[in-house]
Amino acid sequence: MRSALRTIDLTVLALPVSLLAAWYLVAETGQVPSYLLPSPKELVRVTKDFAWGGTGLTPYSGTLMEHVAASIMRVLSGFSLAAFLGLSLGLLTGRVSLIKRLMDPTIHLVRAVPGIGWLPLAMVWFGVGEKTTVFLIALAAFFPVYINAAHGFANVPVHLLRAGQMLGADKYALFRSVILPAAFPSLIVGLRLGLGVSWGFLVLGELTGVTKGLGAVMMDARLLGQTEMIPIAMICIGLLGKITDMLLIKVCNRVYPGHVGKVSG
Amino acid sequence: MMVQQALIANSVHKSFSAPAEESSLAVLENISVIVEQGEIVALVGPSGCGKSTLLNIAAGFEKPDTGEVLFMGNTITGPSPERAVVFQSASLFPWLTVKENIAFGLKTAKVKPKIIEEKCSRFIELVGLAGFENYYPYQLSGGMQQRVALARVLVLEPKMLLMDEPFAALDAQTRLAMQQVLMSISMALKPTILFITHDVEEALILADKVYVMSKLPGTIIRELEVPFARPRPISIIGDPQFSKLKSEILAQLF
Ligand SMILES: Nc1ncnc2c1ncn2[C@@H]1O[C@H](COP(=O)(O)OP(=O)(O)O)[C@@H](O)[C@H]1O
Ligand SMILES: [Mg+2]
Repeated sequence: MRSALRTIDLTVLALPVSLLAAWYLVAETGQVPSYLLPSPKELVRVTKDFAWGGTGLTPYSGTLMEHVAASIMRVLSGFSLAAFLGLSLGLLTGRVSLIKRLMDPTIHLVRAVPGIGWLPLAMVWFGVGEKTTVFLIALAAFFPVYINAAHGFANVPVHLLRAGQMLGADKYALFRSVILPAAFPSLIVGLRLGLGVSWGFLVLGELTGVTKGLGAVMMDARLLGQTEMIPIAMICIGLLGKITDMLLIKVCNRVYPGHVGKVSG
Repeated sequence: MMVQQALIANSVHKSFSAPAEESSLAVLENISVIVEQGEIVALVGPSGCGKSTLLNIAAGFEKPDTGEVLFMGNTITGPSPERAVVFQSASLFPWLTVKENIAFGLKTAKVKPKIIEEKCSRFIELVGLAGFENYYPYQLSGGMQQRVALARVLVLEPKMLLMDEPFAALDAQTRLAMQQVLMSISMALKPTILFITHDVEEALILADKVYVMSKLPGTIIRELEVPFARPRPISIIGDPQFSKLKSEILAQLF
């Protein structure tokens, strides 16, 4: 415990602490009106109310969990879809050259269109709201997962494949005990990037007219002039992104303990 | 009892398509090699002469263009644990510990965990790695990695070992130590070995029979029986007959 304390690097803390102090000073002295930049104190009070309710400071009193749950559900559905398609297509194009020639160029062509560019079309196809959001998340998260998976599966060292074969591994055993673990670090990179992108596109989707979700809170709060809710929702999204990333790493390390220590948070 | 031939290569030819060219590169030309059961046969030749190509064919990783390669009388169709390979780079699975690497083949063959446990500890002991069971490959020296590579195939009790310059990447001292390890193992287990090396001295220390290969395209230019009884002490290097054989072969290689 003591050594953990001693290893905290004070230089790292210097910048965020001074920014916080500056914010506090500027907001408390009233130099900037609170509808542009709410004070930290105010923010803490509203956050408590948002989470546990009771004081009724904003229309969002006590609704944090509802919005968090809605957002997480969308990220999970979109990201799972992206992970499933990205990993399986990555495996196919990474290991089978015919499928690579068949699909890889087209996938990269589609990738050239920025994810945001799909928004109008998605709204036409799926209507405003739930489905559009999940679609945008799945689409945007697919590419990093796919590219990294294809790279990882394609670059399994030949000497390891041969080692596996001469030790008696058949096709299935080779996949399970050589190809998958050898590609695993690339898979993790793709999944982590994809999960990060998922939260970004969640906000995009939720800005366009769903009633629940942290992105919806932001947009709604702007219209209602509840400016202090916007940074709170932003911080919530940041925290959720960090937490889900940590959970993903935990799960990955569980699957292949040999990689423990090589994946860093 | 008749001594059966473990490995027979009969007039093997192999060429590779050269990159960006219509022509192809002839690598092996009319190679015939015989390895008797229980024998250690060394194949020496200059770098790039096709030694690994021949070993890859014997391992079943590649196919000859013409000619045939038989193992225990049957044409080789693919890799198999009865012809286990020790590569020049240890090629251990970096995500597995020493013990898990050694258990890989047994696990794949669905051997009972208790038997895997027993066999692994026996072979870890045999190659001198007791105490390092839970280390990962990157935590081992080159010599120790090669010991793991050796143990993970020996534990499968292969009919034949194919060794592709297994000690070439090691420093001189470690190489001598590894040669001694291999010697004592071969006295204990009497495996059939095809041992590839570019080091004439190593070939003469380890082998019963030595094939000498020419520069590319590789052909067999000499076959000789090594006239010293095994096990051979290191001091054999000073023996006049040893030096004479060594300088003869070296002269042929250049
Ligand atoms: N897969 C391959 N494709 C094309 N050329 C190859 C391939 N493998 C080996 N060669 C060529 O065959 C020759 C012999 O290689 P190799 O058998 O590895 O030699 P050695 O093991 O004796 O050093 C080299 O010139 C090498 O470039
Ligand atoms: Mg070679």
